[in-house]
Amino acid sequence: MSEEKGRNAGDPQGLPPEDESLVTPTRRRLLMGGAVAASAIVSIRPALASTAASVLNCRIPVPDPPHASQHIAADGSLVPAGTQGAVPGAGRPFTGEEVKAALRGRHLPGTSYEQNQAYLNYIRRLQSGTSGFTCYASLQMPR
Amino acid sequence: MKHQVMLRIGPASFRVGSAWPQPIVDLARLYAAYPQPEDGIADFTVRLEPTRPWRRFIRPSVFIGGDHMLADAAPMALAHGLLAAEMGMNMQMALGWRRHLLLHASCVEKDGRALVMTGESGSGKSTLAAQLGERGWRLMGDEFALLDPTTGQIFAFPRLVSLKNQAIAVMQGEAPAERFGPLMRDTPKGDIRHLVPNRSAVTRMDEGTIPALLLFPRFGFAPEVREVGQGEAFMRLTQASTNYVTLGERGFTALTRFVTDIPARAIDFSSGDEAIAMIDRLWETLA
Amino acid sequence: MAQDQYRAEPASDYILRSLDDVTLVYHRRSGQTHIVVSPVPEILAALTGDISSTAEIVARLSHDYDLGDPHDALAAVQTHLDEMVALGLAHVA
Repeated sequence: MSEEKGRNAGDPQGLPPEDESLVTPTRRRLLMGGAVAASAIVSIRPALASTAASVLNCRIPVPDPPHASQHIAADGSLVPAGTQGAVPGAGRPFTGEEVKAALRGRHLPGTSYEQNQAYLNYIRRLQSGTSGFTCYASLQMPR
Repeated sequence: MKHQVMLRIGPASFRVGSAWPQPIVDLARLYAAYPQPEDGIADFTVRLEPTRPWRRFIRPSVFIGGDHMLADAAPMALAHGLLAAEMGMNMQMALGWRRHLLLHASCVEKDGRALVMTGESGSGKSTLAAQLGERGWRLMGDEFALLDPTTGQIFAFPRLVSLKNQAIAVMQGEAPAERFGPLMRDTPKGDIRHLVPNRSAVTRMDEGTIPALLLFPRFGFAPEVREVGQGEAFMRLTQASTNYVTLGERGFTALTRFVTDIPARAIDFSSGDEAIAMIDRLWETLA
Repeated sequence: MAQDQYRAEPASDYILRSLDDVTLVYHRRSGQTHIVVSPVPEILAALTGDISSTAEIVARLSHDYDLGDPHDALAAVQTHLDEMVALGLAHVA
């Protein structure tokens, strides 16, 4: 029976031949249709930083020591001290636990609303190599 | 280093050195029943060092060093030296162990089969394992389970169980006083007290076991059991493993075999007794 | 883009494992693991053999699957192919 399936070279849609006795289509729908195809691939990222650092107590200085004299804009970027709308750095590093709670809606301890927002945005922008990056990466456990 | 102790936990052995005596005294007492490394050779070294030379004496501040280190690590108070030593050993395993796929999971064994429980800290996996260990199960580990890529067996890493906050009181009601370490207050992870695994867990630490059930526990929620698909289990376990990527193909084949061979469930619970009842039922039907 | 010719990564260079809900691909050369869902495993299977164009892959797939609107199908398969090429699971020939 399936010999006929797929051999209909003249039919551009590849539909099953009409003399098949089945009423419903026998082929599974493969694509969802529509203009934009959603990605079908998720690549596993190494979890080294996340699990290894989670077994240690770690901390995140805001900003990192080489930039201690700079201020932090509302979007988390580093700006010269005295820039309008920017806040000075935090007086002490935050622990992983404090940052984790703040990312979930609590407040970084000892901070005003503006400071909290600026510091969290700074932390979210941390790059590999900057002090505190591994600690931040350790907080990124899925779900 | 001035003071040191050697010990073996499962297949891994450590030399822990310290500038101060107390952490070594604590380790030696709590790990007294554990074997020494073969031929006196340790897989890993851990060093508890002063953050600055004068911090050995003045407001002593402990930096955790060793073969493998993380630069972001915060120093610890000397009163938490035992915790620092344990964290140092965990760090060596997390960053340096290659002989097995390392899963951030607790593990207990009954009737020749292993129950593996994985989740974030606070999920309840360590406390549950400790409780099951006092109820006829063999405790294989509260933090790490070692998956052998060749045989698919789980091997034990029965370090001291790290009890946090409320779990301390729970286990003090279930295990004898001499198996507890010092109470450490106000550590970065709250109050901590260590519990030595029981005699059976220590003497049988070299026995590998075939895994039979994987659980994702969540403490602090209304009781519920949910099936977990193999894809989700696989994805979450890659995030719960520190060396999945390093092991390459061996890691891939070990972990795919693990999730295809073993049923997985998510369990939510609001008390240890509730969880244990759920576990007993699931074990009976699935393991 | 649609004029490109594609070939698969040689079968010996990756491992496929079917789980109940997804397919896993271990790519040896990169050491990367990918979790993939339809239509990627089907496109991979349709690629093995010689060099093919996107249109030829679509035609091959439509023998066994309902691909819906043919124009959308071509665009969708093209998008998936581009992603697979970026990850090394397929190559522009």
